[in-house]
Amino acid sequence: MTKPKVPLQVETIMQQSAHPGRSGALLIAVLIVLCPTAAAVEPLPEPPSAPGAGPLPEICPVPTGANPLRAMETARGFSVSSCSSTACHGGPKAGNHDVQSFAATLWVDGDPHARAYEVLHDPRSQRMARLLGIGPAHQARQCLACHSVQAESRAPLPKGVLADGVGCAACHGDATQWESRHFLPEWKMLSPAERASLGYRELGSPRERADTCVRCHVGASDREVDHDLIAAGHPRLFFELATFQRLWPRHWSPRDRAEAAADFTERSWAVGQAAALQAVAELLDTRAQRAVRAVEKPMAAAAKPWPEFAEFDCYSCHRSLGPNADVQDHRARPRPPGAPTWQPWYVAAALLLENQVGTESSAARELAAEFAEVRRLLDAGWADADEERLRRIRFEARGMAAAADRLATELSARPVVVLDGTPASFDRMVAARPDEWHRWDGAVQALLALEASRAGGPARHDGRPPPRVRSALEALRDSLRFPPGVDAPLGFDAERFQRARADIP
Amino acid sequence: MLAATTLGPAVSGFIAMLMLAGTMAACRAEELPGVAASGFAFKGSGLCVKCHRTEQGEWCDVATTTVWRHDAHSRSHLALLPDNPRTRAMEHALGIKAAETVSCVACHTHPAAEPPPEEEDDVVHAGISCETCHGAGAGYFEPHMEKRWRFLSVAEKGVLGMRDLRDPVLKAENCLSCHLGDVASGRVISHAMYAAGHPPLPAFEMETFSRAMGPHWKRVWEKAPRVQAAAAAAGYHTEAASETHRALVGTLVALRSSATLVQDYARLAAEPGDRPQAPWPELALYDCQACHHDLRIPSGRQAAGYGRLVPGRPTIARWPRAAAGVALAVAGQPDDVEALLSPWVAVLNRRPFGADADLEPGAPESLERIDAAIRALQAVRRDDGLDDRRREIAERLSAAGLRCGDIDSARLVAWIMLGAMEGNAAWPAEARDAVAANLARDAAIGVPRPPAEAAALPPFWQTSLEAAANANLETLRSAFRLPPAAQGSGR
Repeated sequence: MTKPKVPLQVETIMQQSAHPGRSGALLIAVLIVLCPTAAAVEPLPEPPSAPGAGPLPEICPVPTGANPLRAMETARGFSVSSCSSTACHGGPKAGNHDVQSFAATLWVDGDPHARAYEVLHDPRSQRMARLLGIGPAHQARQCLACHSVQAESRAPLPKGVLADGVGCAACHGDATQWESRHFLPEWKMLSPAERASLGYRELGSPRERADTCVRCHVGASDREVDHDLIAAGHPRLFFELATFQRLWPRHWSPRDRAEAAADFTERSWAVGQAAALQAVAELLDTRAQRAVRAVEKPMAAAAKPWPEFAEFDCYSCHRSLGPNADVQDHRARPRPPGAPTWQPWYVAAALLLENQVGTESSAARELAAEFAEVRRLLDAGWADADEERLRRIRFEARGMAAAADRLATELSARPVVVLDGTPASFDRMVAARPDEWHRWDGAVQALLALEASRAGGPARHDGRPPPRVRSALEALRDSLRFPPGVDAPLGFDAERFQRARADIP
Repeated sequence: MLAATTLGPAVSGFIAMLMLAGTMAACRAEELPGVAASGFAFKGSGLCVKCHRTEQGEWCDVATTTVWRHDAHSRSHLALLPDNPRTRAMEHALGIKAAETVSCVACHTHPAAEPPPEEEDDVVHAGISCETCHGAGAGYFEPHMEKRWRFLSVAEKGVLGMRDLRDPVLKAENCLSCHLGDVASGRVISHAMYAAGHPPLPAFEMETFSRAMGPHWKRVWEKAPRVQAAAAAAGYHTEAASETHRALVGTLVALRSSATLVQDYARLAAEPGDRPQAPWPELALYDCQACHHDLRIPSGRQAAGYGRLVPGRPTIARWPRAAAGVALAVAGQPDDVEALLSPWVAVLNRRPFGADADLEPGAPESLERIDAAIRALQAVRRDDGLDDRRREIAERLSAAGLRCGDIDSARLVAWIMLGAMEGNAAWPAEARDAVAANLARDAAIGVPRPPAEAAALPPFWQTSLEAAANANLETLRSAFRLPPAAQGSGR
């Protein structure tokens, strides 16, 4: 490892306190922790917005005479090691039925979130960082925001903590105030509000989970995957809670939780979609707000230009122009020819929500209508950075976020969430807006809704859906895969998909 | 005919600038002027045809209109007629009538004669015709028929409204006004038009395309020795240097045009007013393949990097830059085109497509450097030891081709390179042929064919779409490798 540049003061301290047998780098890692005052006072530098902007500083000045032990404490609430001792959450799996006692073990063993920081060292990440000119990826704030627990902390975290990846604190919250209490009997006596006031995030319900996941998997004001990042090599983002939960190695017990309910998968799908739509709307608001700043003050730190291509359908533009270009079918859209379409993944989600759970819900109808309005607004003059238009987008986006929030709350409060899931219900939806269902994004969303409607309960363990349904769904899923070597739905045939979809038992 | 009946009365040349104003559908062809920027009125081709249907003696020994009859330009207006299914589809998608829409008629027809000729000869076409390129005829059509015409200077002819198409700069500017775009004359294609079905504008290489259109002229040096001598004695303007030099001039003009096109369009868009003068951004001003490519794993684009651009930001058309470095180097200038265009790149990095207001100030130093290179290339004469330079040029083009990043750039470089290799003594004939065959076969670089051959082939734009979709950059680049030069040749 190359020796990072350190301020003179730090070098002096290093020389004074050099321990034989310890590498300089390790010392520096420790020294980062030893800066309580500076860490508490100094906010993080603004995210680099252009190539050439510097990485997150690895070192901050250490006031002479600071208490190193107190500094160690500040990072404890973010470190996996605070949770993963053998007697707490890091116990052995073998012969153990209390999942909580080996949650951290499961996480370390098979959870992709545990690798989130590690991937920043991959050749792909290195190339991305080089193309973006942001310094090493594992030090860049915009990468660390989602690939570590950094976003949970106002102060820069030491490398040893960042290296945990998306560790416990990323979802469960900064444990600084509750880490030493939540194993005591009194913890169980605390109300959810009291726990929340200590920084603890409840994650039992689909809403709590979705709101947590979407911060990275959709994006938020302090963490997002924009088109610059995607062009440099980052995968595009998708989110659908029920599917993600199913594919994700579970490190908790499904018993004694919302998860035990028979409608858990359907509820997760519906609430997850609504929560994701709220995040999508809020992110659009944030992006439009930054774009307004970019019009007013192009050089301002929070300014970011419009259009943000990541808001739009990838494959509207990204298709070769050969006579055989058949990536997507763009028939029958009443919009100017040549405009990309806005958020096909989430527009499909809004329409599916209205169709599957919302027939009697005013919030669902309102949300679908809001989405159609934003879509209309963005389709005409989609790249126009006119300030008045951007303000209008913000206004509509906030209305959409509020509608999505209402719907998510309403769905969470329902005693039972049932998805319609019948071929007839999908047929009605496609017939109502045929032009919305020519795209691959919409087809995949329809598939995920079908899967959720047929799974019921914790799908992985109780044998549902029956094998016949499962294999039909698998075949439909396979038909939507990208061809090898291609990162686009080349050869996708919407009509064939709709026919196959209607045949699912 | 169409142009004569639908195009309206004369309005000032300045109106031409404003023709882009508003959306396409709102612009009507009546606003097209019957007066050229030179201030002269158009006379119609009927007058020209009267003489140029046959050879006019030694000085003008080509039956111009006989050649012209087979030139696709003469039929360009037919594309606007509603019996063309592609046109019908475009009209439907855009909600326009092509024959009444400025951006269509500006390139597909010729401005109306004033007054319209009463009876049209069968070779008088409403398509692109004589005056579109040579200039509006009201000023010169009479003196042009006199004997002293031949010995007027270029400047004097220019005063009378005739454009000197022997000047590669004027010729390139004229061709590129449609083949790339020109805001002042209303010749700008929009992305909505492409999306509705307009074929893509391929890379434009003046000399190659001139050959393909079927030349209705002869170079001065191709005429009888007696004529050449008389022309020289009279101070007759002769054409600069080789076709390769002219092609390099053409490519620099394209570079300048592509850079200023964005600025000119942005100026319209940024003009204050009640209604937008032009919508911004206009995607047709940018590199098609910047967005339009299939996403692949692994991504060749990410491997190649984005140069000075922020990843994911569309760039202006790429092909005008492809051979510009070679042209700059041959003109004795630094050949870093990316550095030359850095003011534009800075604007594109600030905001996707650039903000209209940012593009306004332009970059005079960069444009001046391009102009200086053009002047240097124009100063080269045919007796300046051209063969030596042509070997150097071919080698530089080969190097540019080995770095090319898209099919249109590859084609432009290949077309100029094939010209530079033609009859070039630096390579044995079979080695030259092998290079040409490699480029044509492996790299799928088509060469536009003259009308007689082209009639039997699918439209060029269609094969270019196919080639662009299927292009393998590795194969493409490797086809530019040059064989060893013959011993003792060149330099």
